[in-house]
Amino acid sequence: MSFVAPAMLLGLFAVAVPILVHMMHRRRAPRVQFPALSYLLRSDKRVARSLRLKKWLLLALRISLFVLLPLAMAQPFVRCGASPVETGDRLPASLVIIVPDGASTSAADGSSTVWDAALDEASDLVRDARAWDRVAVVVAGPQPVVEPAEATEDHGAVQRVLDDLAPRSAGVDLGAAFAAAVDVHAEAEMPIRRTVLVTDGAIGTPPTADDAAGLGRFEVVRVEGAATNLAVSEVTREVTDDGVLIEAVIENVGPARTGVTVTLEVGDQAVGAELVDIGENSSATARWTHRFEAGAVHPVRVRVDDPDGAIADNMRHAVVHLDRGVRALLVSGDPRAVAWNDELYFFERAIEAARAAGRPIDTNRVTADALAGVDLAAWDVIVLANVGALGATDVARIEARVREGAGLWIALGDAVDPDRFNATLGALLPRHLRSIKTLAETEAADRDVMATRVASFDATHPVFRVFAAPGGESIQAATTWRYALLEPRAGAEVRTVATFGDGGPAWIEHDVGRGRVALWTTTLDDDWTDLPIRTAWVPLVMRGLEHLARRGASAGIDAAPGEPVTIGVEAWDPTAVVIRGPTGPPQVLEPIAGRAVAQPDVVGVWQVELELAGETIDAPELAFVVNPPPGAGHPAVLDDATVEAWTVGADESSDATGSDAPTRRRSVWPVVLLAALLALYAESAVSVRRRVWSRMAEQWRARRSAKA
Amino acid sequence: MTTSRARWIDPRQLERLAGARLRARGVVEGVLAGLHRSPHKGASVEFAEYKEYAPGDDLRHIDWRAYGRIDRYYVKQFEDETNLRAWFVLDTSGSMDFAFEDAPRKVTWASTFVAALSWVLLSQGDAPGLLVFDERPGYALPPSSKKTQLDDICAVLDATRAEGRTDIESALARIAERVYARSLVVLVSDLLEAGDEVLTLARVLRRRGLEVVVVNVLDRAERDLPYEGLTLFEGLEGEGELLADPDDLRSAYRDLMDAHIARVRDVCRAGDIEMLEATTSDPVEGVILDLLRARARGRRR
Repeated sequence: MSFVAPAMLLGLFAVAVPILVHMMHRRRAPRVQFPALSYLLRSDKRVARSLRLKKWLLLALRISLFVLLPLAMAQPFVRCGASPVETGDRLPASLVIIVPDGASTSAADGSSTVWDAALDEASDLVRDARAWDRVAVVVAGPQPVVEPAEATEDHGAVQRVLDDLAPRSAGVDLGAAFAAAVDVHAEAEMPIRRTVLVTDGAIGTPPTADDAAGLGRFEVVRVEGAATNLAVSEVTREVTDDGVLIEAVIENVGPARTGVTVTLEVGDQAVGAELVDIGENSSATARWTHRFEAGAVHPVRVRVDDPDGAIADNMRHAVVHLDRGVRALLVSGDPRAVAWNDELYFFERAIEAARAAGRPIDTNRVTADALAGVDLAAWDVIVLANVGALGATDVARIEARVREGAGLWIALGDAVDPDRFNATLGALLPRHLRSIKTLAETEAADRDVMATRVASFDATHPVFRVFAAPGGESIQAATTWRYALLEPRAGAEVRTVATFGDGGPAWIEHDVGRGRVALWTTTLDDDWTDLPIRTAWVPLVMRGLEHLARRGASAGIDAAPGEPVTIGVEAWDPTAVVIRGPTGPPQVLEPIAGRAVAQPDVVGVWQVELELAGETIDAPELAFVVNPPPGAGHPAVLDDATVEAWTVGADESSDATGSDAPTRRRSVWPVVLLAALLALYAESAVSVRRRVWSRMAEQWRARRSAKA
Repeated sequence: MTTSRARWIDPRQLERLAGARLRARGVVEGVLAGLHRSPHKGASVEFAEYKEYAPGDDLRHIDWRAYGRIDRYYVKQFEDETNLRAWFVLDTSGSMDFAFEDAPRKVTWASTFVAALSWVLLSQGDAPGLLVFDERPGYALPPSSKKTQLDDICAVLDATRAEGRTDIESALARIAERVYARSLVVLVSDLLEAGDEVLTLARVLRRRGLEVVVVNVLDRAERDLPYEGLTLFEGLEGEGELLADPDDLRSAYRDLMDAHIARVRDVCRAGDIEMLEATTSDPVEGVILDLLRARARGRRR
């Protein structure tokens, strides 16, 4: 016997109460003198046996009362064996059917797939459930899905759920499915728990016996899966001088060597096919070099023909990004023959460091005079470094390019005259220049004392966010002794991102058309500030260029169905992100801090659109793909030892004794409580004085005689 | 002596009893003439002495001459009218020293009864005597009709302490030895220890021509056992003690007590012994009147 609240057993010490009361009562008995004691003694002898019986009966009843009450409060229960059929016949159950929808369930046998067979088995279980059983289905993918939301006695609704289910062809997290099933059981609060796993054997990483705790009676219904499988497990692409080299890894899971035709499709057209010979339980690689037509983003597919194995992994999607880097046109207003004296010397060193860190940034530097001969459409960002004067034509071209979506980074210097600068670039400037403020001369001994620093910045801004992280204080350590003061500008959508200690803007920006213009109010070299020799310089340049070029961070993602996908859209700062899969309705995501998180569950290429101030733009460079995880479609065998471990774990955790036979927990406390009540009644009846009974009998007789 | 008399005789009781006549049911021998019939029929109507009139005396026997001389009523008594010799045998054992709640102790009640009845007897010229006993016969005051007899009886009662065991048999044996003529023997006891020998001896006394009256005095608590709750009972005559709940014993106790009283009653009836049952809550004068009425009925028979 076990107890739910064993602490209540401490109340058993109260059993001493009736004994003590009995003894104290004996001591407190009044002493009286009585002449006819001999008659009392004879009376006592006559009724001695019944009195002794009554006395012990009373004591026993009182002791049992004080034993039974704490016992009942401890809520005892016993585990008793019962055959599954007997138990199931008697008590209602919560039935949870776990159906993994991994890629292996897409294997077909004729016109029917493994998934269809699994659903048929699940339907049989629903049909066989008794009317009072509550049933739910857990679809075991990477994230378990419970349908309906809770176990229900409406078996028709469960059947409709099964009819509408479609496999996600992803991986299987059976441990998470077990946990979801336990939650369903717990919410159902039925006396019997029954969990049935319908599987072809593909279970991903097998859960432990502890993971099965709480599943109750555990059963496995096996459906026959494919014995072999061919799968495209990986697609890589590399831009070469001859085009894009695409490589696909084909896996053969099976006992026989096979030759298979691997097809490369771009868009809807097959552009290449290769016959690949793959050994048993081995893999091979197919390669193509393809020269894509115009456009930066191209979806491709690699397909193999495998009618016997899983179908979902016969094809793998990929996106080829031909143009992923930032192209920056650097316009120097103060070119020098000596490199370190050049206006862009420090800027280019930062770009080299960014390239070394894997950021694809392509640059070209020109002078202001040579700008007329440059095709601006080829550049994502135009950097004007201390460009004192530009022709009207160049300014118009720059403005047109910005309005098309390019970024413009304007930095100042000794060549800049505020009035002339305002006159020529005024349409693009976030705010007009008022004057150049000099706190100290470059060579002054007290320069660092007189200089100012970047005192505050927007910690959520894509460029400056990194400086709010630990180690980002170096931007505030940099000193600036000369910068431009700006004219106020009312009503404009101007964002002051960073300011100096005396309140003057350091980085200010605004949108022009689909492009973005940023004004850095000091120099890009060390003439007015020592920031270029600080550690903050490289991230400032790198993130500034990516910010102005509106580069995102989702391209190249190859996710599994149901796996979270983070889309970086901070460069656009959109109000909403819309993703469209190959099928199904679009999903609208709300970006938070420049990131939108999606959970696509359909295999294929997903396109991304951005909502920008009421305008929706395509962002093909943010497209990503969803593919079955490698190996998800391979056949697997669920061994009996694993199932046995789950069965034992499930029983031990719920209502079994750990023996082989299924057992059930029976509460004993109602019986104990009833016994306590009966003891209380009996004690009351026995201890009632005979005189009371006599009076009651007399009254009853009097009433009867009166009626008569 | 006056104090003792006042203690045992309640004037209000005596007022109710004034004029009553105690008539022996059978023929008794006596020294003084009285209202009782002589066993020697027609042998003598000789004048014996005068007796001061008391209410209840026959008016025919008033000596009017004497009234004329001394202006007081005297009644003439004759030799053929004998007085009654009555022995009060009073139980003063420990069991008589019991009282429940406001009721008087049994020995108190019995002493009052003896004194009151003695006064009645003396007032009509009879001779009461007293024998007290517990586990052995105690002080014995022979019957006498002298004027100081009542004071003597009351003095003996005053000196009596209820203690010790009960031995009625010895007391009755002592009476049997000392009573040489037909007399009235009034046994006042709770009769709790009255065994077969006691009742047999009482019947022997009756067969010897003695008139025997048994007054069974009990406290109401001895009949009903009205105690509540667990109680430690202690005997008054060394019987030991008993811890019991009276509620458990009440029914059996009553059965036993009723059976005992019924047996005594049956034996008395069979032996032509007058038996009077009383409780200490009963008024003494009422019991005496009941006794007199019962005896009057017996005389008429």
